[in-house]
Amino acid sequence: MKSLILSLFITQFIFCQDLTASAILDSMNRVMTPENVKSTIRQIITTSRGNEREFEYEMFSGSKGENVLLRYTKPNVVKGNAILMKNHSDDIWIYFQRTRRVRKLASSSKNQKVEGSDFSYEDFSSGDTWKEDYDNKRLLDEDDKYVLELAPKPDVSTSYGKMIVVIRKSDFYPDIIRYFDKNIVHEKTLTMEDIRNIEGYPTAMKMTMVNHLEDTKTRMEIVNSTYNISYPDDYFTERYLRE
Amino acid sequence: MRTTFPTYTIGIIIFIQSFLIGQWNTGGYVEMEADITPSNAFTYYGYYKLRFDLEKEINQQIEVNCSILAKQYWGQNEFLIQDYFPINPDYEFLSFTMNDTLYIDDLFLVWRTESLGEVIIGRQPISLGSAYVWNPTDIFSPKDNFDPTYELQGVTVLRWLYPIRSFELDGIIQPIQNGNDANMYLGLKGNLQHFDYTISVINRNYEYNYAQPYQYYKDTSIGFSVVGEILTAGVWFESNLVVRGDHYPDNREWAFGIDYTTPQSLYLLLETYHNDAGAGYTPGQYYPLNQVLDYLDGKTRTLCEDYIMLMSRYPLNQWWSIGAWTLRNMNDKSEIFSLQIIGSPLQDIAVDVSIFSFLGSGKTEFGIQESWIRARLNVFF
Repeated sequence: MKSLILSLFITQFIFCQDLTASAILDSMNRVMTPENVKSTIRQIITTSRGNEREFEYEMFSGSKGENVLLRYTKPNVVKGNAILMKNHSDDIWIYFQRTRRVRKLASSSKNQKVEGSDFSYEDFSSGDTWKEDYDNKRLLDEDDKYVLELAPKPDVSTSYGKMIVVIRKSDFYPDIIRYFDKNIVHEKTLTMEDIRNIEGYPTAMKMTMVNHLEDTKTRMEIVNSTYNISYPDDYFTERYLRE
Repeated sequence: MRTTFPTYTIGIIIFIQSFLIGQWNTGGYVEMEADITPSNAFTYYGYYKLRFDLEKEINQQIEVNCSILAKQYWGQNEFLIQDYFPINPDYEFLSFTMNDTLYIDDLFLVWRTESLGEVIIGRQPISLGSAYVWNPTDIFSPKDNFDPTYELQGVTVLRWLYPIRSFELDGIIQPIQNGNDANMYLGLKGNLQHFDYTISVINRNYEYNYAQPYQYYKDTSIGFSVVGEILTAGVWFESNLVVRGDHYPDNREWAFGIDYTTPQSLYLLLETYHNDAGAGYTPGQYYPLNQVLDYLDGKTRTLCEDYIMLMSRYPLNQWWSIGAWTLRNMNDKSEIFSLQIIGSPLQDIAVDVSIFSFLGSGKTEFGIQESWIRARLNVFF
């Protein structure tokens, strides 16, 4: 029995050592990008002076994170406003409830803060395209975690110069993402906490994005979430954005 | 629609019902604006405004929306048109008064079905086209040049949005006062890679003149609007060409714009606009009164033919940003220049302080106006 456990351990050790960065990314994408998600998210933004503001929105994600629709429910100033991000945030539309206008944002805006938070529009795009868009490299493991370095390919439009992703070996779920700007200055860190299994998918119930350059942070808490949802074919369109 | 008995009554009924029956989504804001013209003697004016929005989802298909708006002015509320437009000062009787108002700005019903798409009936906000300041294809709700993102008044129309595969048909009918005709808009919206486009047919009625009410000219035009991006910069183009017209035959209107956000978060926007129906400019001469009245009445979108707008905005932090914009009349070479600070000192509170400066001679569109400071506070609930 002991030898069996030992051989399993050795096999796993060797297997883990041999996994390439691409294979780890594939495994991460399998657990990180379910077909569809619907969540209610509470967002607390903390300024550099320590003041807090709370937002709440519903997030609808389809086609493995290719399309995302956010609809704000709190506070009153943004209630009803909605953001539609398609094609991994390459196409962004914003709907203003008060004026009932829709405005398309150019992709030069996708590195901008979403409603003052430390998340940019491009942060909402899934990691599904990371394998295509980034050159990946495996760094030294940290304890029981894989560490990958992702550098954008020359033709990819992104505000980041590099990302370092720390992935749990147990379930290939990332628990830390470090974002570096074009000058390879450490700009932001995203930390995933309270990771629970929801409908078969590991899900971080709390996420905190810390902006090291501006000394601000944004905490996101999942109020509720489901993966058992389907959307009509035309759900991620301007028509549903207005609703 | 303003301060009339039926609108009062309907508004009060809905207001009371919302509290008696409950389950209405409510919201709105209080807006306070102070305007100061620091000329020879300071002039102060402004208003308090309350907007109360009610929304009720009757079932999965039907939704009712209502917005009640009350506005109370303070300080100077009577103005001479000659102080703001370069027309002959002999017309001394031309004044306008800002009266206190209470009215229903929006009252509409949305009906969504799988087979019929979306039908919206009643007084509702309409915003068509892709341009930022001037929208040639929007015959229903012209924007304010000074404040193009400000909410637009509702218009009483019947609107039908119907998806056809990857396209969307958008039909709007607005009955006019003679009861026989209607302004009509029929658009087909599509998408091609990173570009959204709309092709439209527009039928618009114009009152003959101010002495013959309910007599109309009719213009039919073809509209085109596209918005997308080139090399990560946003670009848009919008045009409206009259193909058969009694009032402005062969009129061409178009707007072209580009915007870009630098990696340092500086937002830049440029938009140009041309309108055949605008007035030409003769140096040293006042503008014809009819042209100014047509502009004030919304018959022409601009007083003159050609304009350009440049805007920039930079975020100071999460809640505050500074901006500057300039709007130039290319015909009489007059210009507005504005500096702006906008922000949110507390949750649900917004502040906007703008300084407007006007350049040009006293007989030009913007040169006639005096520098002006505007402070606006919004409290959302």
